[in-house]
Amino acid sequence: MATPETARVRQRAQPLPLIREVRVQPPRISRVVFMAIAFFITFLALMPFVLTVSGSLKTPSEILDWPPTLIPSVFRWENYVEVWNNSHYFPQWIANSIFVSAFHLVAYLAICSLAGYAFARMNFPGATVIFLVILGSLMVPGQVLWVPKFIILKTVADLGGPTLIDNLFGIILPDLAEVFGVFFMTQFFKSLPKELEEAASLDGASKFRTFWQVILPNAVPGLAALAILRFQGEWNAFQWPLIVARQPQNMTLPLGLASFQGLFGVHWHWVLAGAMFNAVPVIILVIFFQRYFIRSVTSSGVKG
Amino acid sequence: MQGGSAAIRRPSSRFRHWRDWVTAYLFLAPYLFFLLIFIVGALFLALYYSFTKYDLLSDPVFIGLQNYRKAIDDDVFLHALRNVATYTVVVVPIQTALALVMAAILDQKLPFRRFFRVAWYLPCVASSVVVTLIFMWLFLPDGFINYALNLIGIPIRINWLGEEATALPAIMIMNIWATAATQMLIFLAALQDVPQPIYEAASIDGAGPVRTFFQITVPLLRPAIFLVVVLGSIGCFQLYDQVKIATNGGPNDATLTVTYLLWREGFRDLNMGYASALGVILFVIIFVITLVQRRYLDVRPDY
Repeated sequence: MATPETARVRQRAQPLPLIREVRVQPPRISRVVFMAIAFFITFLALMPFVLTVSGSLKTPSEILDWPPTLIPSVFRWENYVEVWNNSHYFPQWIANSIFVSAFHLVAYLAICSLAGYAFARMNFPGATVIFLVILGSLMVPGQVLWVPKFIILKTVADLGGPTLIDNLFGIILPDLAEVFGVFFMTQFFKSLPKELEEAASLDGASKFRTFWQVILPNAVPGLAALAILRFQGEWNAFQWPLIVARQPQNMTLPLGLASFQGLFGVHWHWVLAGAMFNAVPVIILVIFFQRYFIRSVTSSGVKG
Repeated sequence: MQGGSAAIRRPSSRFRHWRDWVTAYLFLAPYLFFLLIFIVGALFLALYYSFTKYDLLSDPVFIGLQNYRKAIDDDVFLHALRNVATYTVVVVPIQTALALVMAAILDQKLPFRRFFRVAWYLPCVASSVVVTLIFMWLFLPDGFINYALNLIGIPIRINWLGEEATALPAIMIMNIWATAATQMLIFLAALQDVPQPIYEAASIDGAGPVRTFFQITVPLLRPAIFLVVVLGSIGCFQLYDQVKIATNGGPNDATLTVTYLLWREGFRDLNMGYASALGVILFVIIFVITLVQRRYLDVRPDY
């Protein structure tokens, strides 16, 4: 009896893939229209960048010309050298930004993966309450916390602790509370097969050793996605660093650039060249790691 | 007897698990430390300071609801609130519609779609500072925006960010440019969950792509639209970076926003108490907007 049964199943199963292939393509004309719209959007999306690159290579007089030129008549590469050399702090800002982003990233990935693992795989009293608090704090607008965070950092110094105002660590540490990473890593660890730990716990490995030697190596895709998203957030950060940093030598690159236009007034050729130093690293990152990027952005739903 | 044994059994089973619990909390401890200080604690502190007068130099003085009363009568604050509301009402619908169209086009399996996706997303990865600086330059009287308008037959040379009438619209344009693609990604993810047979049925019934979009895609995407509208509104109410960098709230308060006022009160004029109250009010407004939108937009799709 079993054979005709399977035969019938096979018979029924076969035509199905055929139906899927009959996926109707949209008619020709609408495809042409869609392509036209798509190219138009691409034009709008890329044009400001193209103009920035061209502007950053113009001479100080050409950049003020009317009508504005699309391609510089002379390519003035010195703009980039001058931006680097003429403003005393430019290399310092880049170094500060690299330090802040790198330090933040390492610490953030560590604490988020630890916490995410606890939520994903451990039972403990209070888990639901704490997780709800974390979800709830997604709703708190960052600006509400400016005043209290500033006062907390000031109080630490007043009580004899380290000086955090006007210090790079004052930028880094409060950002470690950023909610999204824990949420993201919890979801990621939940998606890993449970068998991973079961084998390890049979060998009698401790929870932490299992986490370090078995789980983390398997969590690289999740960590990479989170790292890229957070790097973008921290490298581009403006609001909180603006409150913490006071003197120019303690600023990060975005802050420095923002202070730039006041500093240089109408020297747009330098402003645009400076902006390239901030924009290019993230753009390269996105182009090379698109897949990770899109995955993490979709699950966060927020611009970092 | 029975009650007694149950009472004994429970602590003993708790005792067996306590090691696991300690381990779990050790894993959580580093994150909890930062969460409790810089979000939960800070939020309570903000609430506390909003009832005080505090200039950082002398101790905070408790003044009850005075800061809130001051805010309600503060023409500057109400003006900022009006600006932000106008900004939100204009930006959110445009950016949501644009993001939806972009996602629907990318979903059409067109050639070069990978290229389109990256190219469209690039505005979202530049920092707010870079975007603002670029657009400040493009919006100059001699800039490319005026030039483009001249090319299509609108002969104007306005100083967009320097004039009361155009400063806020200029910031609207730069932010729509900079954020639409983030929302496009949310729609794109949602579109992948729409069952393909629905589209097949529609096209067999002879529905064109435009009709399919309005009668099938849009209704099915309602949860994603809700998410995008809520996140968009929250973002709009927090408008700060572009104002701080490009206009400082000017000209003549035309681009003054709640968050910029909060910064000015707190960190320029050292009215920490009043700044905290403005922050709490902002939080409440955002919370209420989310609830209201949930009431009208968050309807599950029925397949």
